[in-house]
Amino acid sequence: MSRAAHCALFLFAMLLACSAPAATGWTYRIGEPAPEFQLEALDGNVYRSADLKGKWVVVSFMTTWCPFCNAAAPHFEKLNQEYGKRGVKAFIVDVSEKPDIVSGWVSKQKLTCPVLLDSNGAVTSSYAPPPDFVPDLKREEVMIASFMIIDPEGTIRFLALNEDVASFDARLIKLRAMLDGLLPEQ
Amino acid sequence: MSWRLAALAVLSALGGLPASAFAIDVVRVLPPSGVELQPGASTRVVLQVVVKLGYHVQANPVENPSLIPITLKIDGAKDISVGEPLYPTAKRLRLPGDDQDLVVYDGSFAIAFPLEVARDATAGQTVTLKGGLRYQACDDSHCLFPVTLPVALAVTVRER
Repeated sequence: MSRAAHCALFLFAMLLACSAPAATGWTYRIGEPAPEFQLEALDGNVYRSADLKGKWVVVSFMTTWCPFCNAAAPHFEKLNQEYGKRGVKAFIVDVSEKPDIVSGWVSKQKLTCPVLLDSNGAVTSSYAPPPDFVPDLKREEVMIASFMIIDPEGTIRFLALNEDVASFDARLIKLRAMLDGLLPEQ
Repeated sequence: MSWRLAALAVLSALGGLPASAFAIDVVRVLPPSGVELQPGASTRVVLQVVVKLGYHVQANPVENPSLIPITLKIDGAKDISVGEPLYPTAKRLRLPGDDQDLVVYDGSFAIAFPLEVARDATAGQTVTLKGGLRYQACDDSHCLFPVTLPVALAVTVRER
């Protein structure tokens, strides 16, 4: 891809990424340091945010019963396969569910990325927008079916929170465009 | 103290808060004010369920088994048996990018279940049947944790 084309793609990605927040006037968490965490995953390993420094990270907060998550999960797996080749570390944080339930769902969805178990929702809440965003909901509920990009310095660069059904991005088009713009040219 | 805090205090005193204690009130159940039946008689009890405007709940049955169908469970009691609930026809909804429909209920709908009083039941007694309505609700942009709403129904056994 030429440099000009790459620049154009990046600008397009920035426009896409900014369009949803701009529509409602929020830029929650963008530019902030990603909160530290340490969570056990389904594979038995413990994942620490500190170990992810120096890498581009894509994280999604999901539950097995969430329709938005079920719709997006196959596309998240595709993204994991494709962008993993470019060094992106993708993982899912499951919010407040029992491991056996999550395990069955992961098998059904054929997910290969690490699935971290946030058994009490505390880590998920730490990534959520403040209570002035959808104040009726628990903070971890707000984050279910959200998608985030964290840069190698540990800064949140993109957060996709669902706006409405019509704009729901199951195919992760905005996330992919943003990644394409942010990742170093190959 | 608001009525919500008072209710939470009562729940706490009764042995712990359910996971749904802080959830917003998306669903209301309107049972009949009371059911009166003679010994040996049966009826069909209808519970009216009202979903908050802008929300929907997953129907029963669901087409994707990962989702949580709304489920009514009423425990029977001595002399009173309760049958399987009947759920209404669902609406279909498809999320952009999904390859499968969701089946949901919104607005107001009815769940019915058969109820029968034993032939040798003692007349004059009133029994309160207890149970719960488990559901998982979403609006256009967010999904809420599954909730079990307590349901109670008073059944009086009349003289023949």
